[in-house]
Amino acid sequence: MFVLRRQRDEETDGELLALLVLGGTAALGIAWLKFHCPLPACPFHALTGFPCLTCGGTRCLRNLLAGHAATAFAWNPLIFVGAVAAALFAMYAAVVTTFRLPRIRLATLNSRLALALRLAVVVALAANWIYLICHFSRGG
Amino acid sequence: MIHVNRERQNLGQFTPEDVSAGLRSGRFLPTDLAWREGMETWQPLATFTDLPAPDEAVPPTLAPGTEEVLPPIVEVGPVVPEWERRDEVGYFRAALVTIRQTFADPIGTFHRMPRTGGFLWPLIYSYVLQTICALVGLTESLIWVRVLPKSLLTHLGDNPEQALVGNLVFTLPVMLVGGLIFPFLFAGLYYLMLRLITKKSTSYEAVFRAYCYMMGSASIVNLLPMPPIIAVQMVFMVFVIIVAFGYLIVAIREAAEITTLESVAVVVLPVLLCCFCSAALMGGVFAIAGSLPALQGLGH
Repeated sequence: MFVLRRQRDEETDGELLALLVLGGTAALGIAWLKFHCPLPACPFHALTGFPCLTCGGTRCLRNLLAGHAATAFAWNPLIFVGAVAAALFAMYAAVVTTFRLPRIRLATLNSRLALALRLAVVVALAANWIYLICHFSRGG
Repeated sequence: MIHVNRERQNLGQFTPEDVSAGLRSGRFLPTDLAWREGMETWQPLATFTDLPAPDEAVPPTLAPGTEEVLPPIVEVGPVVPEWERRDEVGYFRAALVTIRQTFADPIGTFHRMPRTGGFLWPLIYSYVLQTICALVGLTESLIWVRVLPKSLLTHLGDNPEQALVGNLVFTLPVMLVGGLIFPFLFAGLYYLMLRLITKKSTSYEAVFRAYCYMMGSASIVNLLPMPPIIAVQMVFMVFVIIVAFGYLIVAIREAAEITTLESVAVVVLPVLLCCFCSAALMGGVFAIAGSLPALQGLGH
């Protein structure tokens, strides 16, 4: 499914691009939280009374930055996993771009596996949402 | 798919059959450079010896008495949007024509937009236009606070001018850094939604390019002289969102060749279901409109 291969000259350097975007996002996000900049209310929560898919995300990230992993996970498991995955990917991207190492590339993805992946994503989103609804109904 | 390039200008990606037919019709030249998955470097089309032979099948014989119906001849015009031809026509003219093309003919423009050609120039188009328009919008707000009575600007505190200048100091770095990051993040989000919802294997690059051209052009609505009155700006914000989303739905639909319903889902669902997207959207619109104090007290 995955192969290791060198970056081609004419290819966009995806890892470098991702590293810059993730770094910029992290810097902007941390500055935003650090300076207590305003955060708009969730329109979905305001309209329906239910949390959206990423409600609690800011509190999750605040706790993660403070080193409280368990509390961060409890606020929003999806954001927690996403943030950790992004950090790991940034580390991988930093290493392969700095040392010009071979890159991980998706070689083949048959339709059955693609469908399974799609379903897995939808199930993960739904499970996270159900968890958030229960979590927020208990008062967070 | 084969990517075709002429004089550093991307003509798009085509099937081997299209390239073969294009070579016969003169649309492509044997000297045009081309690349496909697995090749190390770009090569002239003349070296593509394995292209399928053009369809030379004899047209089916028509039944007596029936009229021959020929397929319509499709005119292949210059590459659009005009920003792709900036070296030929000049940067200023290219930007102006691109704005006109994206608003006047979004279907044709995004349908014919090259799906490849890099990230840099569409990003520059979007970044420069958004920054200029936002700065003009903020300057307009500063003029407005000198003209309008203070009773209409109570949400900006005792000193509206100082509040707006304070906002500028605060929003400028966010705008300058965010303008470079948000296109990548939003294009990534729409790309993931496309992969999740549809079966089309549209590239991230194509989505990114469509997003940049559309949002860059859409930013000119900020040139409208909107006074920083909370009610006016709320209406203005709704207008901006509707215009930007409407056009973005068309742009993604054409670039990814999906249905309108799928495109609506790709563009609207993330904002409805995700705090971060709606926050980024609302924050961006408020920041551009120069009324960030209006957000105070809305935080959760």
